[in-house]
Amino acid sequence: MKKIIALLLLIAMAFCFASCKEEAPAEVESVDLQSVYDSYAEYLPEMVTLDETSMMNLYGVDASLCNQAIIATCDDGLRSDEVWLIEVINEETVLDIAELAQNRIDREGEETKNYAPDQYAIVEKAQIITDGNYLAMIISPEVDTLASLFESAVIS
Amino acid sequence: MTKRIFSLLIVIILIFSVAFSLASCDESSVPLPEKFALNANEIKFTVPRDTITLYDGPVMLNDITWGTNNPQVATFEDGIVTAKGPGTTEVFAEYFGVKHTCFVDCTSLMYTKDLIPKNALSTDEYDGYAVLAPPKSFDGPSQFYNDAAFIGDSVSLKLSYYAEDTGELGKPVFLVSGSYGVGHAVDGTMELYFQGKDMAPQDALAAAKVKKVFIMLGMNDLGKFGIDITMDYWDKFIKNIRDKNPDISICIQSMTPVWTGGQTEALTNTAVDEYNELLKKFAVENGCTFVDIAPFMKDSDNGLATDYCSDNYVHLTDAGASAWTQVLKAYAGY
Repeated sequence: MKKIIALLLLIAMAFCFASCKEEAPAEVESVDLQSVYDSYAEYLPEMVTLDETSMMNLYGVDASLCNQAIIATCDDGLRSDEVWLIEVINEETVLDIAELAQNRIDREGEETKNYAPDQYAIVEKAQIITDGNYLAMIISPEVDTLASLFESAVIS
Repeated sequence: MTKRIFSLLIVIILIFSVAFSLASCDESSVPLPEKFALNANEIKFTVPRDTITLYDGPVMLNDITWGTNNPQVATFEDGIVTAKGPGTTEVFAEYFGVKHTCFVDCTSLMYTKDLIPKNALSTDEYDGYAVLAPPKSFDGPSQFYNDAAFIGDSVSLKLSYYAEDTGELGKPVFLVSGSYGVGHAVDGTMELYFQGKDMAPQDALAAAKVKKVFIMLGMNDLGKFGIDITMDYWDKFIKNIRDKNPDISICIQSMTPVWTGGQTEALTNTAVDEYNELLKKFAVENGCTFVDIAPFMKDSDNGLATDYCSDNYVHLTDAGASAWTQVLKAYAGY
């Protein structure tokens, strides 16, 4: 009798452990944003890519909150072309980065409105795209093409 | 008995010998040479990289420990003090526990045309190209600008991108904005952008925690306000910076010229030259240093050199930004 009770208890314990076992999460493949940026080459003028210090000093973007961060701007100081491609670590921070991106667009609009009206027209059509942990901010005459390339890569 | 006395005497003599030897090796008892003293306890420089001999003997220079509290302002080696950059510091020399200090004032360092080489190129030889080659500086990135900020307009925006790309100026902070002017800096109708926020220049400098600021402004003021009102704005601008950042070192850069064919009624190179002369005078009178960029950007028509100009107006090519960078590196010295 005692042996039967012990066996039943063992079986019950085995079921408990089995039900507590967590399923290993499926691995999520990260999108290589550098490849996305490289695909932009034919649509952009000569650009300069900012390092982490400049990202923070210029735009308040904290690279330590990002898995990947590429911010590039036209290097002649005359054209407004600018691209942000960012994957944040925690999805909650995407909206903070989006706010910084919008600030940047608003700021560029203020600077170009009277000074360079042709560039202002480009800034007015800038786009910010977010999907999960990913964000793109694009100021470019080719904004629709670049946005489409980003969406193809990121949005599953 | 005799042997004992003799042995005792030997021991006493030995003890005294050892004691005397130890006493004579005690360094502190060695008298210092008569003239270990610096030639001055306060010196002032007005020319960068100038030197002053503070000590020249008779103690061997190698026996003295030389030092400085801030090598970015002045160095002190082998009795010679060298001015490195704006600011104040103390240098010291130490010998056998005796230390002498000297206060060094480099707040009035002034770079004007001493950067122009004595063998400047003839104005006849170059048509549309820069008359003066950039001054010789040093290879590699500057360290001097790592605690500096640059304030400027779209002309400086190009410098910021060139600096980002090449690293030649180290890691300064760029507080630059297209169409920005001294007028905006004072009346607040446009602010500078730092870490994603709009700020008045004095606040941005405080937030950036920089020790030096290099300013080139005027392109967006001269045509709008004229020289006199622009200079009034400078007065208030510098005061605002100093009120918020009392210890900051301020350097004013002369404004770069306009491409000859791009001059307008409101913006001529004659006006730019007059403005730059007033800026230099203003700098001297207001405790700022001055670095004269303009001569190195000009062609034989006194306009922005063609190969430095990207838009037949005022904006720079990589070559123009490079020339400007070399002037800044020559000014800094490191």
